Amino acid sequence: MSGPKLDRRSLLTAGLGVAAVAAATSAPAEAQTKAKVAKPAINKGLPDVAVIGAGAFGGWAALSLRERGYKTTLVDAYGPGNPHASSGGETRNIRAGYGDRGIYSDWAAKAWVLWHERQEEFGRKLIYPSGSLRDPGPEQMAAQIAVFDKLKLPYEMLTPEEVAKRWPQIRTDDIPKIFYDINSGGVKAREASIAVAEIFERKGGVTKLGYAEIGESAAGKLKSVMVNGEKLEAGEFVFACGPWLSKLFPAFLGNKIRANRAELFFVGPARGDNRYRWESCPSISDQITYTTADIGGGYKVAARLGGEVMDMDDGDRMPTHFLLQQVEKYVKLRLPGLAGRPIIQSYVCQTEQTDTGHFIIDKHPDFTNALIAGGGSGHAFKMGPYLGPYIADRIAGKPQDAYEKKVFSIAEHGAVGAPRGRRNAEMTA
Amino acid sequence: MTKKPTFTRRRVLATGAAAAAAGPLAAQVPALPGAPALSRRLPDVVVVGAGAFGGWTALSLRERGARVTLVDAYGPGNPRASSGGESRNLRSAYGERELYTRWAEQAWTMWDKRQAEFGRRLVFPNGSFSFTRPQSLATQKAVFDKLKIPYEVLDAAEARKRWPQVNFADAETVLYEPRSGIVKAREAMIAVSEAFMHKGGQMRIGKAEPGAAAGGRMQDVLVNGERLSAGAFVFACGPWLPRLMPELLGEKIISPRVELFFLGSAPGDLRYRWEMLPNITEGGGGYTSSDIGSGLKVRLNQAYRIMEPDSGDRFPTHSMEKDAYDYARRRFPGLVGQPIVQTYVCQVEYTDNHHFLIDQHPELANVVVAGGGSGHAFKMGPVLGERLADRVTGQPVAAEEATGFALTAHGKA
Repeated sequence: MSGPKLDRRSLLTAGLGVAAVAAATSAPAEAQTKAKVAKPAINKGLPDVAVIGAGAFGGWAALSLRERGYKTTLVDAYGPGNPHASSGGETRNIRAGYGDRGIYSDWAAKAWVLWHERQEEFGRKLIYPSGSLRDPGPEQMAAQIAVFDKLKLPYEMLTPEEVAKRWPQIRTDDIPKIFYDINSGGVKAREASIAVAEIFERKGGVTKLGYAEIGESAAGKLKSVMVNGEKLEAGEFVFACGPWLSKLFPAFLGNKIRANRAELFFVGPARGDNRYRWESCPSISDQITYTTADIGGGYKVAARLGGEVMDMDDGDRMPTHFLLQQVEKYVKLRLPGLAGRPIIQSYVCQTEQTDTGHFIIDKHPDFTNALIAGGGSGHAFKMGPYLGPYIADRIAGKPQDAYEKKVFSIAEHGAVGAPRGRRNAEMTA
Repeated sequence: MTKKPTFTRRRVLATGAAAAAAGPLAAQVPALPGAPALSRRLPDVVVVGAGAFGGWTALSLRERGARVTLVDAYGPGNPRASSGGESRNLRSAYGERELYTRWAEQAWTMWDKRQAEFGRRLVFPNGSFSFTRPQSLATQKAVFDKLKIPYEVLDAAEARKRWPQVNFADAETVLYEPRSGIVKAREAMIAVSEAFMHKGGQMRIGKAEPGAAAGGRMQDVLVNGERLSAGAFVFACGPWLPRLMPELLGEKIISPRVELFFLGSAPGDLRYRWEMLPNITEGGGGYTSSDIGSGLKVRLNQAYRIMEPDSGDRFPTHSMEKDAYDYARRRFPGLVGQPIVQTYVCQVEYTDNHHFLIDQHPELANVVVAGGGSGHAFKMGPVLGERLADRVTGQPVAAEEATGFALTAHGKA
């Protein structure tokens, strides 16, 4: 960790503010996008908050906290949605189908509404309601139907013939009945994370780039974090740094979060063939893998090796021909019209997996003023707009649902091993 | 190709982010209040291609009151376009080609205004420097002096002092341009298209082909087989131009493949970010873009290999990966051992002399052809949009643009 420190002033401007680069102080530096939104007043009765990690958990939490009047600083090692992060890349899926885990169906349905509201507020397109097909496996299917019925979420059960009639480009002959989740689709990932950080700054939030480490503590309270060696003090802390949580807190999270490497391939349809675009094609999540309909970058198909761990900081992110072949095989089975079409983009990332697939949202065992939020397990991104207020509620000390408190607690999570199959713990968006 | 649905005009017009219950929705985003009124004096225009040339032209035309439909095969900034990917560099040094220096200088200011208007960050003003030989330095200085563009000539010792993270062992002097930087690429084109639609423009995704012509005028284009008629047409489809108009442009534009590598830096090491490091122009087409959040981008000279824009494979190669690591080791010793964090494969569409190709179609009076970006058009987007809108609306064209960009000024690429 040898880098020089950007001083506080220039760090503040890393996002949307004035670029304090000595040599570049000409026009563009001075006319950055200005705050067009109302800045919530800082409520002096509330503690200052430092949020570590500008992803699905942290970025949205920082925005919600700022909107509630907290003076908030958002710290990220590489910036929102960067390629090391679990919330980078082009898209994530949003869907409510979670088998028997109704809690996430409920959250996803709420997040669905919030994404649309935030899209409008941010003034840029972020959500692509393509619908999605899901095969959670026979034992989970019945449970998922029960959850949807109970929550009154729209869905349809489709036979292969019905799928073929509606979307002739999709084959589901091997799946007797597939679940069509109507209120679902893709959301932009990196650009949404950037939008959240930009709006956070416009609302008066402060962003800081740098590597955060635990600072001083006293009497069961954390006093500060060190950001690239510089002290940042706050009254409350949120540690929402995805797969880095296990690095930051090896004592109690070291074996509870595992970063599984994944590769994403974007298949390019023929020119004029709009059948794989989100307007015409649902995303798919089955027993083999998952896809995201084309929002402009090609039809995305995910692939991964079961056991491969990603080192977030140092790991090489070159796509491999081995996984490319898996994708080609899958495309042939599920989307035969795309067989032989070129890979037009690829991306290598990780999901940070817990043993149960449940998130971790809990107090730091030693510090009463530090909250841990992470363990997204491949399905947190969609929840972002709901997670933000949820985490802000924890900071505000609001009562928490007993079941959620339990399943999100550190104690309820055990050591996580390599994923054994697609369905295992990994619920992958 | 099997039968595919065509997005009908009605479906394209249908907007909003409602639930997908009823099947396909449109790529269109809704117009906002305050969109420019339609001017009856101006022709309806169809612009084919939503990149650096076409996207900005469609926006400028709509802002002037024309009814405009923007057509793109895959959508703005898509991975097969020449205007996709993370970023492009903005700089004004063009040697003796003063026209581009003037345009780049205008574009610098216009990008800034558009960024404020679009309400999202697009420009990263980090400066840039190039390694220059004495002869080319003299030429460049003359142009910059004439146009009053700020620059500095630094010896290796001074450069080393300012940017100790860069190895200047092979440098005698560097030319530093403070008014330069990085712009987002794909997201900028998406922002342009969204602003265009907010202002009442229509966007369509589909394969466009020249349609019927009569009396020396084009009547329509076919978009996925459906006729789209207009009073004027702009074909701004980058590497697809020679494919759409083979007789006219078949030999004038070639599109070599380019691989881009993004290098990570150690956690907490911010020295390669845009706030700390200018972009570097190496000799012979290689360059870097400092880290704007995705790593330090490296573009190296590479073996000549044509990219077929529709069906060409865009998988990065290990040989170029190795070259990228080698380059980083040489130029940025502090990045030794750091990983590639992202890759991207694109193409550049070159003309024979690297001048743009902007001209009226020789047989169709209401058709303008615009392209041949030659790897330096993206930065010019806001200027290109205005200049092309001038042409379509019959404004006079500067002599140097009329001759320099003419079809007849370009030979076999």
